[in-house]
Amino acid sequence: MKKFALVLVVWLSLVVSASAITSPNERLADPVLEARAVELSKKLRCVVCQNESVEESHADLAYDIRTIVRLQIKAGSTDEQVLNFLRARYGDYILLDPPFVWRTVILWTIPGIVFWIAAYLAIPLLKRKRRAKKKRLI
Amino acid sequence: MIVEIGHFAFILALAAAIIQAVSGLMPRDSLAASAIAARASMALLGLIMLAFAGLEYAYITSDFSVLNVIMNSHSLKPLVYKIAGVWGNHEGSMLLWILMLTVFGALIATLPTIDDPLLRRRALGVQGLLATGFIAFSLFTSNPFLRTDMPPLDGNSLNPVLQDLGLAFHPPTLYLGYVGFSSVFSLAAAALLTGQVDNNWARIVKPFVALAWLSLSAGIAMGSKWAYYELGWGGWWFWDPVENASLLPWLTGTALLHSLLVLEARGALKRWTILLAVVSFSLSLLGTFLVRSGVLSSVHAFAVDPLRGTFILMLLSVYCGGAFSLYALRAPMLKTIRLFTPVSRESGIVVNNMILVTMAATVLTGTLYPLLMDALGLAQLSVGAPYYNATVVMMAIPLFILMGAGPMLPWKRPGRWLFVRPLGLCAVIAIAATLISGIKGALPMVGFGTAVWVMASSLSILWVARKNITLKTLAMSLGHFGLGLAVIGMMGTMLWKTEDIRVLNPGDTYTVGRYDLRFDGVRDVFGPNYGASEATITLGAETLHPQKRWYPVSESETTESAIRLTALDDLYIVLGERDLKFGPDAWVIRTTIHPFVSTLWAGFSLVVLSGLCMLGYSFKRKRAA
Amino acid sequence: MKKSFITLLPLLVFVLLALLFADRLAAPRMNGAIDSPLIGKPMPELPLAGWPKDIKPPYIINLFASWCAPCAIEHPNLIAMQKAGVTIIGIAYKDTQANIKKYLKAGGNPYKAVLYDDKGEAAILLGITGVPESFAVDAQGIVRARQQGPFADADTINDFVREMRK
Repeated sequence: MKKFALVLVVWLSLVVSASAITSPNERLADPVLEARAVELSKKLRCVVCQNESVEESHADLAYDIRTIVRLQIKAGSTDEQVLNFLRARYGDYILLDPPFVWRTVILWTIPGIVFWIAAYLAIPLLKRKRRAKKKRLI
Repeated sequence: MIVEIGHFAFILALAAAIIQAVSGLMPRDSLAASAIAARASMALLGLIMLAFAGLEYAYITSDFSVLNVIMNSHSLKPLVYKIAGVWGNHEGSMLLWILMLTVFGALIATLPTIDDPLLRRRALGVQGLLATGFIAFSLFTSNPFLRTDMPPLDGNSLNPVLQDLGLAFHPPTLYLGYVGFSSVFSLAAAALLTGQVDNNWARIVKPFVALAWLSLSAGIAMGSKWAYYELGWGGWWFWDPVENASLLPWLTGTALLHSLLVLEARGALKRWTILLAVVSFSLSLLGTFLVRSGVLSSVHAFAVDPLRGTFILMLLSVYCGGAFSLYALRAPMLKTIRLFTPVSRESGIVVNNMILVTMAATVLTGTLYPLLMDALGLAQLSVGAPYYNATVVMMAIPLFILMGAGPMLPWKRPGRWLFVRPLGLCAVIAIAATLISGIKGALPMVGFGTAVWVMASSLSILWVARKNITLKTLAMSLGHFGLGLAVIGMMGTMLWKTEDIRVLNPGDTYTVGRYDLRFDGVRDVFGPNYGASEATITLGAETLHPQKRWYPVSESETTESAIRLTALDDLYIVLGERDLKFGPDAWVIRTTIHPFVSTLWAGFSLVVLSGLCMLGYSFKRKRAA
Repeated sequence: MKKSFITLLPLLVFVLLALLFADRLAAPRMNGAIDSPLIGKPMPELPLAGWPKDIKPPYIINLFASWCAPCAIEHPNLIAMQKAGVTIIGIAYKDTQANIKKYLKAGGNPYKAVLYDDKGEAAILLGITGVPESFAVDAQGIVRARQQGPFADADTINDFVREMRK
């Protein structure tokens, strides 16, 4: 699972980058902090919208949450702390990136499970020829 | 009067569908039954066309005695959107769905390439069964022809966000895809009933798969394009449950069209191909269920009604449950052929199918997981882009690597390793291109490299076959090349965009990327059914006009971004809020440059074109012995 | 036989999915209805000026605004609740004192105290998703229930108040 987490981290930069920010005042001055804020906002669900992240949504509440994220990052909170702060008030629902806990084990391992089932079914298909070949030699 | 004729035709259609179903599925072998089934399907098509025409007439003439027209139209709407308004709501789109179903039924009835009359008859029977269920559903729970005694003066208008040509015609294209798979499903079920699945069946079913697949591809591409151009911030895929529902049959449909190649060429993968055929349409039905039952929240969901949801679930249980039961009973009887070699075209396709199916299973799990967690009372979860990026998008990488290599692998024998040299050359080209491009970061480099690899491989196949390029080769090369091109476009919009937000006073100039722009103020303008604040941005001799529109009838505001599309990139300008602190006419303008977006649409277009090529070569009668 | 089991698998998966859908159809969740993680925990301290320390729980905290149409629809219900002896503390969300005074003058004032959350910061601390929204706090200061949207019918109100009185 650590591998998945690593993969997750690297892929954050490739999340579809749509943004609803319409005022330069919203952005933090420090580009590193701002980048963190944007990444975090992409992982937070706009709870009053239909399936958008806080970063993409034009809703008022999304604006409020973006503001809080930036305020907290500026004040020195870690990404974990900001996420937990919002999680404590909105529940896991606000996380677009489901946490890896016992409840979500199947969710995170389904690719592996399905692939191995498919492989288990497919491998016999690829082995037969050798047996047939053996027959010919005799 | 015309509307009443349409309504009556709709009711008669139910009878025609029942006749088609019964005559098609009746156990006794009978020529008369075949003829009845075929005629019923043509009658059904005619009746549904009449019904649809009746509803269109009501919309075009703004007949507000029809409830459906009141809810979804308005006299001020431009004609083309009145026409499209028919399918912009649950009831009307259901009628469109049924229309497509009957079109495919008629195709099954008339296509000369189907040389097995029993297969044809059984397929018509299944198709008739599908039509019966959906017409009943529509008549009893979602009748678009319902009237009111007191017609209002005007309608409630269509959602202004949907008043866009691309979006207006996105449902018919998409439905052609979804419903197209119904014919594949019917032919598969029919084959299970007759017990004959072989190369011939693959040949028969191919044009249907091609048509469904290319329509679905086009529909999804149109939806993405609309989202990108309309929603105002450059995103084109949101992993919304209903978007996922369209991706699912596309993934299994792609697996199916590859698996059919093996079935036709080698007579192998029978059970698997039939399963894919049944699953693809089941996934279409699942999508229908998700959109219309209210079980999932989504931008695309129609008005929520659990009663309708229950009816659809019952239909799903009969059709999918029935088909999967039939599969469980009959599939083991299909004679299997296992003549594969580890490194061959067939095994390449097997691995292709494995990856595609894993991707589909992952998307399905991600979409339904919140539902599962809520049902078990465990949690209220959200599964969004981060999950899919970590899983599905990652799986695309080995798929793309295979995509480049697969078409060069020979059928059957492992011996001839002739493909190693051209592949090696493609690999060198891919690596060189990645290094030259200056892209940094492991994953962006891998993404770019595999896209170039696929494109190089597709081109080299065309080069090798240059003296005699068949539609088949063209289909394969265009399809793969198009996907590679699309990936480059995807990476452009995600990784290399430039964004600039600033407050400007009229007359201010600013530079973003390679563009020198000047803000020339905002003024009020009026459209046919809206009022707007329109900004003017000058670029050289051209002007761009982003707007913020207000539609008074539906009391909604939308943002119309101004987009300047060039081959190299898209210049995307959005009008923000006024900022009086900065000046009396100061506004916030957000300018974004998305590189290579044109390659995204070009890539998708090539994919659709490849589907057309496939359609072109798949209308073969039985090949000479 | 292994072969027969494999072909049975798709049917099994389908049956499980159908059961899931049937369950969800039978107990539909309102669009956007989120379970509040605050339930079962003590009411958090809110950074609002003038918090009435003399008003002891049980009470209902109701977030509202003069610009919010559903709030106006719910208002008579709040008045009725107050007349029935329920203590309601109002938090005005993103609004001005002048507008609120006008609003309460016109519709009546069910609130024992009104606090002003003009930036909406306190509201986020409560995890609200819009206005109106209400929280039932019991005698020990624990949050018992959360109502998203207006109080629409008597049953909802009765259940809510019952939770508060536990």
